[in-house]
Amino acid sequence: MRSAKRFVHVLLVSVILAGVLLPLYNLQHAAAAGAQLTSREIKLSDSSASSNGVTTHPGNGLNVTYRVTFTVSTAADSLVIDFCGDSPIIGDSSCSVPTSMDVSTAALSNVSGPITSANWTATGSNTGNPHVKISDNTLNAHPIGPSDSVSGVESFDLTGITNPSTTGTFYARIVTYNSNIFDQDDTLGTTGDNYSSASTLGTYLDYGGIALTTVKTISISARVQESLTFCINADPQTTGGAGQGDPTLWVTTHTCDDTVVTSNPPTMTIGTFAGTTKVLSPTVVDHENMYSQISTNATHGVIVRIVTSNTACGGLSADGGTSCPIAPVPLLPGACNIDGSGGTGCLAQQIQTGASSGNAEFGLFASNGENDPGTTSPGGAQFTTVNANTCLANEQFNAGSPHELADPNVAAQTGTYYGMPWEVSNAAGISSTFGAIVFQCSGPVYRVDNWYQFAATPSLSTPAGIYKTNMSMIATATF
Amino acid sequence: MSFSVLPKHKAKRLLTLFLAVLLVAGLTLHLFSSTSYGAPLGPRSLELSKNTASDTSDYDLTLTLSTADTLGSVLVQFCSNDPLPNTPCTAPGGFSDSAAVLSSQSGPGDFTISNASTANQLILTRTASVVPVEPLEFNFTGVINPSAPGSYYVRLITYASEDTSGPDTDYGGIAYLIMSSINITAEVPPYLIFCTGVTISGLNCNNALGDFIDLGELSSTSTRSGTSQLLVATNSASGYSVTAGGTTMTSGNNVIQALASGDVSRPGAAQFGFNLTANSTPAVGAAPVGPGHGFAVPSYNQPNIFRFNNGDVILSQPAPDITRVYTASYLVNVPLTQAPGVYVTTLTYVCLANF
Repeated sequence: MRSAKRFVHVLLVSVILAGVLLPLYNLQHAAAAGAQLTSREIKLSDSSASSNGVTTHPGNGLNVTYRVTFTVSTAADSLVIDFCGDSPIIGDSSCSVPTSMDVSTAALSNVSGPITSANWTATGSNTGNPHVKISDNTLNAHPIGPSDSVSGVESFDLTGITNPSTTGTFYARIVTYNSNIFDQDDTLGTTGDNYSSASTLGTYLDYGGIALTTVKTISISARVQESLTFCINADPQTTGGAGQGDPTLWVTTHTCDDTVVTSNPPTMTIGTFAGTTKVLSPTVVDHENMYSQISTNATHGVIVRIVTSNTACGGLSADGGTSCPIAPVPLLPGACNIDGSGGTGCLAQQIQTGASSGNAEFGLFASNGENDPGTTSPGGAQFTTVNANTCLANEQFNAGSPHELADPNVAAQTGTYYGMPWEVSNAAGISSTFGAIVFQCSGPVYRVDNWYQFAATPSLSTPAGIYKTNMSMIATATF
Repeated sequence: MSFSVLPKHKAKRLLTLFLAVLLVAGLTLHLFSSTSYGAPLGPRSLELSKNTASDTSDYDLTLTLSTADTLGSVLVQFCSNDPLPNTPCTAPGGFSDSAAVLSSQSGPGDFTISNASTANQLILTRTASVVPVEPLEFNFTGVINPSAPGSYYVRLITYASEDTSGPDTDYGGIAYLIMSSINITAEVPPYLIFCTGVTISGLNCNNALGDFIDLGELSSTSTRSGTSQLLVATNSASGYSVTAGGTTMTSGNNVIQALASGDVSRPGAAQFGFNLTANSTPAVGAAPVGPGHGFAVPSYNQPNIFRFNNGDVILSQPAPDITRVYTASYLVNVPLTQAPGVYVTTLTYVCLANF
C-alpha cells in the first residue's frame, strides 16, 4: 500500500516536472530541428580591447580576424553568428551589445570544409546586436554539413572585425538554417520561421554558443639611450716608449676606461731629448703620437673636429698667439675631399726640415679609423658586424697612400704628409668656430681606433723659446 | 559588537595571498604603465665650439622634426644622467645656459628663449602654428660647459603648446662629451751657427776647409788678394754681430800699413784691408749667399773699397737669420821700399748673438 502510494507520488512529481521542464526546453529549442554544434571555437588574431590607445596591430583590437571552427550534424544552407555581451544561450531573450564591437565590414575568407563555393558571402551588421549572416546563393544546395566526402568540420575566417572596447567576456551564438535565406522553408516572412534577431531566431537547425574574451594589451618597452664615447691619450712619456699609447696595445679594458688613457692625458712635448729636455732642432722633423678610440650608436654617424684655442695662430706660439713663428703647414691649394677619394688639392703636405727649407712648420697627421682588434672573440665578432661603417680621415690631415703612416709604432715620419688647415678665411679651418674635420664615420661604430702624429720643426731663425698650443678634439654625433 | 579572530594558519595564508595579490598587481601595473610619447625626432646633433670643462662655448643644436604638426615650443634639457625624456634629470655640475643667447636659427625662424628657462633647461617658444617636417637649427652662444669631463646628454621634446605644457609631439636625445684639451709644447733652444774657412761649400759648416791663405810674393806693381768665408745663422731674437780682430800684416818690426779709413786698391802703396762683397778692382770676392738676409756693415760692404781696423764690427744682423755665407776679400799692396820679409797676420772673427 505504502509502495503503491510512493509510486503515485513519484509519478505525480514526474508529471509535474515534465510539465514544467518540457515547455522550458521548447522555449530554448523549440525551433531547433538539428543538434548542438560540436568542437566549436572562435580564434581571435588579436584579443585586445579596441580603443585602448595602442596604435599598432596586433594590440589595438582593430581589423581583427575571427577564425570560426565547428562541426555540424545537419546539412544546412546558411548560418548566423550573433555576438552578445551577456549570454551564449541560444534564443535567450537578452543579448546585450558588446560595447563598440563592429562587424559591419566583416568579410569571409580562408574557408575550408564544405563552404568552398565562391557563391558564399558574409554580411555583417551592427543593427540590434553585432551579427554576421553567411549564406549560399544556391538554393537548397545544403553545402554545410556531413557528406560522403567531408566530415562536417567547417572553418572560415571573418576579417575586419572591431573587438569590443571593454575587456572581459563576450559571446557568440551560432545557428544554422535549412534555407539560404535563414529559415526553414525558403518562404521569407510568410511563416515566421526566419531569423530576425538573436532572440528571435526562427526555425534553425544546429546551434551552439561560444565564449570569447578581450584582455588588456601587454605593452613591453625597452629603451636604448644615445651614447657617445670618445677618448684621446698621448704616448706614455716616461715608461713604455713610443707606440705604447696605441689602443691596440691597451691591456686593461680595451676601452676608454683603460689605465693607459687615464694616465696619459693628451699633453705632449714635441722634440728630441737634449739631456733631459726635449728640444726642437732645425735639422729634423720631430713628432709625437696621440691616439683615440670612438664608439657611438648614432644612426647618422659621428664627426670629429679639431679646433685651436688660438684663432690668430694655427701653429705654435711662444707668446700666446701674438706671433706664430712655427706656422701651420700650408695645404696644397684646391678642393678638399673628406671621403678619401682624393681631391684636386687642399691635401696635407710633407714637412721639410727647417734647416733645409728655411720654414718652421707644425702639422698633424690623422689616420683612417681602424677596428680595435681587442683580445676576445666576442669583441672581434662585434667589430665585424658593427663596423661596416667606415671612419675616414680628412685629406687635409691625411694625403693617402703612400704619404700616410702605416703604423704609428714605426718612426716613419719621413715621407709622411701633415696638415693644419688654419687660414683665417677658412670657414672649416682649425680656428673656425667649430674647427676642422679630422675624421668622420658614416654610421654607428664600436671601438674604432685612430692615431695621430703631431710634427714640428723650427727653422734656423725660429726664435728660441717655449712654444705652445692648446687644441680640442670635439666629437659630434648625429643620432 | 563582536570580533572574530582568524586562526593563525588562516591569517598566514591570508597574508600570503594578500602579498601575492600586491605583487601581481605591482607587476601588472608596471607592465601596463607607460609614458605617453610622441614620435622620435629625426637626425639630431649638438656641436660645441669648445668642449673643455667650464669653458664658455657656442652650442649649435640641430634637430629634425618627424611630425608635421602644430609647433609652439621646444624643450632643450641638459642632463648628466641620461637622455631619456620624461625621466628625472640631474643637472650637470657647473653647467649653465642662463646667459645663453640664441644668436641664429633656421626652420620656422621665430623662436625665442622663454623666461621660464632654467640653468639647465632652455625653453624655446614661438607663436604656435603648423610646421612641416623639416630640420631646425639653433645656435646658442654663451653656454658654460659642465665643470667636469664626461658624458652629458640633451633631451629634446617638442610641444604644440607655447610653454611646453600638454602632450609632446616629437622627442629625442643627444649625447655629447666634455674632454680634456690637447696641450702641445715644443722648446726651441737658442743656437748660433758660425764657422770660418777658406771655403765653405753647401752652406754647411761641416764643409768648411782651410785656415791659411798664401798671397804669394808681394809686388809694388800689382795687387795681391785672397779670400776666406764665414757662415752665420742664429735664432737670436736680436740677431748677431761679427767683429774682426787682429793686426795688419807684419814681418818682425816691419808692417804693411792697414787701410784704417778705407781705400781703393793702389798698387805701389802700402795697403792691407778687406771687405765682404764682390769687387772688380781687383776682381775678387763675392756677395753673400744663402737663404739668410744678412749683409756686411756698410763700411765693409762697398765694392773695391777695402778697410781694416782691429775690433771693427763687420757683420750686423738685427734679427734672427738663417744660413748666410759671407766671402772676405783680402787685399795687399806694397811700395818698392817695403822691407823684405815674410809678412803674416792672424785674423780672429768673433760672432756674438744676443738672446
